[in-house]
Amino acid sequence: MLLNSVILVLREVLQAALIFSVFLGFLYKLGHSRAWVLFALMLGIISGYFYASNVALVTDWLEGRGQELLGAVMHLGIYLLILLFMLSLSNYDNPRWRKVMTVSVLLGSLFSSLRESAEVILYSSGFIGIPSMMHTVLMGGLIGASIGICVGILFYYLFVNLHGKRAAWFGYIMLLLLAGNTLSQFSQLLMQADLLPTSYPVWDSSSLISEHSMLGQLLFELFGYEATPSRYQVSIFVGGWLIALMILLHPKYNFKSLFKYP
Amino acid sequence: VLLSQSGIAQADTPIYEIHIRDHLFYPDVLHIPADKKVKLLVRNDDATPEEFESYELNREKIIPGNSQATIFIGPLLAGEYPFFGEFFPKTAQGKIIVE
Repeated sequence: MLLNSVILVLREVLQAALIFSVFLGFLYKLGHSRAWVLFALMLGIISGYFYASNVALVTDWLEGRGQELLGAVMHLGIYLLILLFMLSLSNYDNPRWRKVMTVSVLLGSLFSSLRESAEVILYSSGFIGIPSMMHTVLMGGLIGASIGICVGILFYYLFVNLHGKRAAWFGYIMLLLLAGNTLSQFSQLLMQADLLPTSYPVWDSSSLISEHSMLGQLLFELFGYEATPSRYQVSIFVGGWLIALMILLHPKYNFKSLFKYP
Repeated sequence: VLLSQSGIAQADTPIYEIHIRDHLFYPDVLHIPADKKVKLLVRNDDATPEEFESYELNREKIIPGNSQATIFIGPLLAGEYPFFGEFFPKTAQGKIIVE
């Protein structure tokens, strides 16, 4: 039970921690206020509590598709907010775009912490009536959360200690990976709700990297790795990446905006 | 084994029912046809929530306590597709056999 709690909470915390570390890293480099991220985290946890309290209601929405639709909207929202964040990085000298950056960071952090915290709250709530297991679950959850937060801190310091081109490349690649992750989960939720057709897997890489393995789990959290993705999942993933790359490679995109910052 | 196959129910999509009781799946082995989309109706008879998860099926859904949820799967190739309850993975285990 201890190991299960560690892994479950680690998985949930890790994804949010990576998003937070990238946003915080960019904001640090730009000298932009980072208080919004903390505010979004607290708001996300509170919202996660309300989501967890009403999960049965949400589940019954839209002929039993409520969870998937709400999750899909949030993941699509995070993807679009990452794109907005990219655009605001290019136009950081414009005060309006700085406001856009604040809003995209606020909402992106809020959505990512809401869903993850809701699952941790739901998981923990199942043991409230079992005092003998609650201690183990809390201990495991604490260890898992600590590891996830430490990985986030590691990525953050790695990012802020890189300079010039290296920092820009690292930051943008992380943003692209996280954007791919959100789209992968977005398409998976639509298929689960039967709102997107399911096809046979395009490939099966489970013999190379199993989703059961630690590496598979890490890659899933990082960019939504699936060992057996469907045609539609791959199409949405690639399409989303192409849109993000088109923004970055557009002649008007100020890719070097970060280079001047320490 | 509390398996109810409702047959053709919604737009030709067969419904298969799985119960969660005492952190176990009933039935823990489900046979479904290959090349056909099916609807899983997962009823959680426990008071505590559970998360239905399967890496092989690419599915993940929270089933609130004393509640039910639907999950669409397939069409699938013939084979075995394990699933488990993420909150109680040691006991809540099962597999779908596609044939």
